[in-house]
Amino acid sequence: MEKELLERGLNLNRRKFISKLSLGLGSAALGSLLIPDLFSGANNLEDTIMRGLPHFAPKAKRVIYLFQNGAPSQLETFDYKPLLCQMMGENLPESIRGTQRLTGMSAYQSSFPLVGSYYKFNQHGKSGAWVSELFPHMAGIVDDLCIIKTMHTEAINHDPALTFFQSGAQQGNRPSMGSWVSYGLGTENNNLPAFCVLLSRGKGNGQGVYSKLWTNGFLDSVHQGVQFSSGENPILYLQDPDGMDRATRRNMLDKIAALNQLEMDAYGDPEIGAKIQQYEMAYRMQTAVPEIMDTSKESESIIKLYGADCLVPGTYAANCLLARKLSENGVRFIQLYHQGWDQHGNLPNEMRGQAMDVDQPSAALIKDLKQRGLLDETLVIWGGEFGRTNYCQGKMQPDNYGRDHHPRCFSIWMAGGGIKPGVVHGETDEFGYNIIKDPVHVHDFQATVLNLLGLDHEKLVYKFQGRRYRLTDLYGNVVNQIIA
Amino acid sequence: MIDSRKIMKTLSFCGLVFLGFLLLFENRMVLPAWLQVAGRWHTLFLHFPIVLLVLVSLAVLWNEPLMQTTKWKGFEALTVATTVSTAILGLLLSREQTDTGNGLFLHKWSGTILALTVYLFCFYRDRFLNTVFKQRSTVVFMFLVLTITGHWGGSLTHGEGYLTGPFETNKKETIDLSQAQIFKAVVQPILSDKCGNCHNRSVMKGGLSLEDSVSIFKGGKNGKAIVAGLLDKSLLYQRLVLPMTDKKHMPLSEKPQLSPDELALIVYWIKSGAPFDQLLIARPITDSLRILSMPFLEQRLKKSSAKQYDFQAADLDQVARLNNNNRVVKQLGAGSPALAVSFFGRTNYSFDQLKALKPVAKQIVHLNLAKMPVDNNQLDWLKNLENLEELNLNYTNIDNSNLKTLSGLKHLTALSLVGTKIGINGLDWVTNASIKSLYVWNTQLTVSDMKELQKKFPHLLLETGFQGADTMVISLNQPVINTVGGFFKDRVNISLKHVIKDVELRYTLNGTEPDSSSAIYRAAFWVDSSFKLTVKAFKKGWIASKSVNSQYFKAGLPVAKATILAVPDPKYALHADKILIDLDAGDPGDFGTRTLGYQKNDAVVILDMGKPTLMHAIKVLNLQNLGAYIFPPVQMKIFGSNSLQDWKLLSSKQSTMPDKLVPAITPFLTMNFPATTFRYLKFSAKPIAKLPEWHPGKGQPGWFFMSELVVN
Repeated sequence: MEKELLERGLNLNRRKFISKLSLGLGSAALGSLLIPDLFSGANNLEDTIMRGLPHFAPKAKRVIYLFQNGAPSQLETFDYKPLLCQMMGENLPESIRGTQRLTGMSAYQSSFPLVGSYYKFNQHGKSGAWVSELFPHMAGIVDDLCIIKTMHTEAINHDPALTFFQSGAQQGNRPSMGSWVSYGLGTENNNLPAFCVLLSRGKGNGQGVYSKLWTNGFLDSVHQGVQFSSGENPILYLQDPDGMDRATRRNMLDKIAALNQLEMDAYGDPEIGAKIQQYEMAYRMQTAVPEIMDTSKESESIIKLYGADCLVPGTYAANCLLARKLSENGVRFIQLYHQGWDQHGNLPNEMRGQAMDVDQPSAALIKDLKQRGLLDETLVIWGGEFGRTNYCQGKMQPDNYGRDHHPRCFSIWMAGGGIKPGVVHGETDEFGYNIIKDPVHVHDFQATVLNLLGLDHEKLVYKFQGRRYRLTDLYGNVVNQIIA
Repeated sequence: MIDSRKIMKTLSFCGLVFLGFLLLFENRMVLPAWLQVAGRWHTLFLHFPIVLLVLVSLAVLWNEPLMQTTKWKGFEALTVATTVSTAILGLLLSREQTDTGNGLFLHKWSGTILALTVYLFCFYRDRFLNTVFKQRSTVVFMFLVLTITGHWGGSLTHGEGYLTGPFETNKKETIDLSQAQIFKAVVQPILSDKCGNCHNRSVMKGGLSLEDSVSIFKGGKNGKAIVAGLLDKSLLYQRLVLPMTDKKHMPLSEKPQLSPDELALIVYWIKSGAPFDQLLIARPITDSLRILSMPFLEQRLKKSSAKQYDFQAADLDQVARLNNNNRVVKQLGAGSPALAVSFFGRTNYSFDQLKALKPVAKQIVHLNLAKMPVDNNQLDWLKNLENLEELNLNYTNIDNSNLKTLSGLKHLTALSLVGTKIGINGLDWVTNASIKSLYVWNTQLTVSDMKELQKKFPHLLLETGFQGADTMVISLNQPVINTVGGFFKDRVNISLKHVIKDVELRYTLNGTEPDSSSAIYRAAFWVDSSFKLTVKAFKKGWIASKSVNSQYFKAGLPVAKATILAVPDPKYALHADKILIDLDAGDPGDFGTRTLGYQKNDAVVILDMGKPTLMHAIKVLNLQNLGAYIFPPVQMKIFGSNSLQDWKLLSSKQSTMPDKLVPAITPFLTMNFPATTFRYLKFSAKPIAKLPEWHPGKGQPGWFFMSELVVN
């Protein structure tokens, strides 16, 4: 009897289970009707990305990002705060600082004396934007720039902040902005990588840059940034060894490609496919790169425009000139880093040196792109990873002071490619500490850059380890006010 | 036995009578608070009759036998009861509403009709509706009234157009800035966006519609919405700026609020007298209202300005096939029929590559031929690109002779001719062409040509580029000395370089600053004695560079072996036995690997010449980096001997100490002595024990660093 009862119970359970299962499946199926692309074979978006097409007509085709690594002070560049000069030496009011966390470098200071800019500010151009006297050349082109005074970020230290700017996350290992753009738009010129990186270093206190900043992360390796070095061979291992001619090289590559293809067919590893493509690209780069690196044909007027240093490899000026040449030849995303902007102390002196390095070449790049008719399709960005405090770090002297890291507000500028020229966007309070109007978060900035390139930041996604990733993570709003 | 159906029938009847009473005397009623509360349940209660009515309708249409059962009759009675009571609650609630629009009126009356119809249908259908057809028609009618009532009710609570909202896509609109009226173009969109759902002609909450000028000035129950020019009399403004917590704040706290910019616009609009038909451009350019309006208009223009093309898209597979390593053909964006074409790699370009684009010629709107060897003849072919808008011919081989052929391109708006041989004569056709931007930097056009061109076509955006190279005077950068400084044996070959072409490098060998009379560097040259090379770059039209210098030391007599008697500080003692005679001068910044450092004890070194040698001097190459506590030695002594015993003092020297911080240098300290023959020399030097008063580290011990000892 007991046995029968048990069997009956089990039977019932089975029947119940199956009938409930059908109900459950039915409801799940009904729900799935609301997810449009769940059962449709070809995904439109993927198709778009495969073809390397923007989601909509772009305003900019290429980006040159002049990253000022170390975080230049907004208070000595574009954010004019006369109140700080009046209140020189007075303590930063608690109400202004609020709950802002500080770095270990100044958190234990007994006081936070406000310090005004050592350098004078003047208004320039039709827009009347305030620019510090350190940047006379940039001041001259201020009507081509859109200065954003209200950038803000979440990190307070260099590496996380820099990584955040580049990849949308502070921890690293996510694809860099240039890699996302390469993924979304593909390369324009098949003979050059879509994403190139150029490094230079000023004399100011510097912070390192690492190749993780231009990593492809989980994207295909073809989207990795290619670093150009300043030596005799800008790209290592690109030159044929002595005695090898083009035909031999071609022959060798064909054979290697055939071998790789066998392996690819057997295992289907996309990395092998990337390798085949990279070899081919390198072969084409062997002719394209020397042509671009050759600055001997640049006219004297161009040399004067960028400054004499533009012919000295590895300088910021040379990198600006090179960036123009790469961009002109269809490189989608050119990432420059200029180190030396970390002025915890000796700020007036070091900033003068840094400004000497970057002022003329940055302005020259804008002028040069403009005169070639390229500024309309090239987005140029100038800025660091965060701002600097309005109070002095360390000992304060009238002509010598330092500033610590400040994430709540800082200034960058953008120009060209669909950006409204001659605009100052956003306002900070008169202490230069908090934003009072139109904040622009790093994710907003990234969303805007992608938008200018014709990419919808919410649609540029890549699925990796079960999660969909975006450059802007879950955030970001396009700053429409600065788009022309 | 209590017949619940009868009770409900009776109650419903009473309810209907009460309803009629309420309708007749609604204007005279004053509701007690508890009835107000009851009325507010209307929005919850209404769901019961809807559901019950739908069930009744279904039964009438499809299940007649069911309708005959007693239980069903009870169910019908319940339907009537809830319908009637919902109608009553609704009427109570309507007393609270301040709406005066059509919506409320329609909702009220259709609800009443519904209640009456349901009552009659359920209790008296056997008497009046004797055929199935009549019954069914009535049910359909009832259902329609239910739908209408529900719709108007929904519009009252959620705002008009709530239901169909998601269907309304961004309508394309065109705004002509010169024709934009202030109200229509700027104010009305804000009002209709943020207030329009509740304040339109049909809903009119609070008796207010904000749809047109008449109703705006008329205002609502509480007064005039705006009084031109007077903010404090304009209710619209006052409601907008009430704190969010205030019940009277508008828009309601859960609805989308006006942005600060939008609010500012409304403020300035009222302040400026609330103009309606005035053109925006009729206001002065410095007018706040006009300034504030512009971003709004631009935003709206932007939304509607995505360029549409009316030609057919090309076959995408064909487009894909046209791509190769030198030619890139791509859609402007996903779904766009327009194509952009770029060529790369000058050596691989041929006219045929251009001609191959023929099948997609109609779709090409951007063409980039920069740096390609395009000549005048190929320009004719470009006429095939009938929809071309942007053409880049920078650094191509074209000149004046055939450029006019481009005037056939009716849609061409941007033309780039940088770096070509185009002159002013090639551009006379630009007059009547569609071109808006023209790039002519680095062509045959002179500055005055450009001025003339701009004068002729003031609307042309003429990009002339950087022209100041001749007048701009900036500094040259420093020359590069290829020959590394330091020791040499017999002679040294000096070669110099500068990155800029045709620069004059002038140099001196005696440490003085080169000037226009100094020697000019033409080719690498040899020098055979110690010297300090100073080089400076000069060029016409440039400021001379800063000088750059380097020191070269001729090696002395060969030293067989150096023995360190007194151990240097372990931190700076690398290769101690070789470092002093390795002919490597070291680097002022690089102490530790090329230098020996002493702090606690004196430096003592014995030099073994291998055999007795005639000597008269010894030179010590040392490092002086005062900021890093590295000073010259206080005292140096030199002894001679042939047997490592009986040392004879040859010379002793006190150094003069610096009296302020100076940049780091690597000087020679020379000690002369009477020429004598010895095999061994012993050198000793004493580091400074206490840094002087002026130094930041005063009183602390200093350092002595040396990198080389040279005999004679």
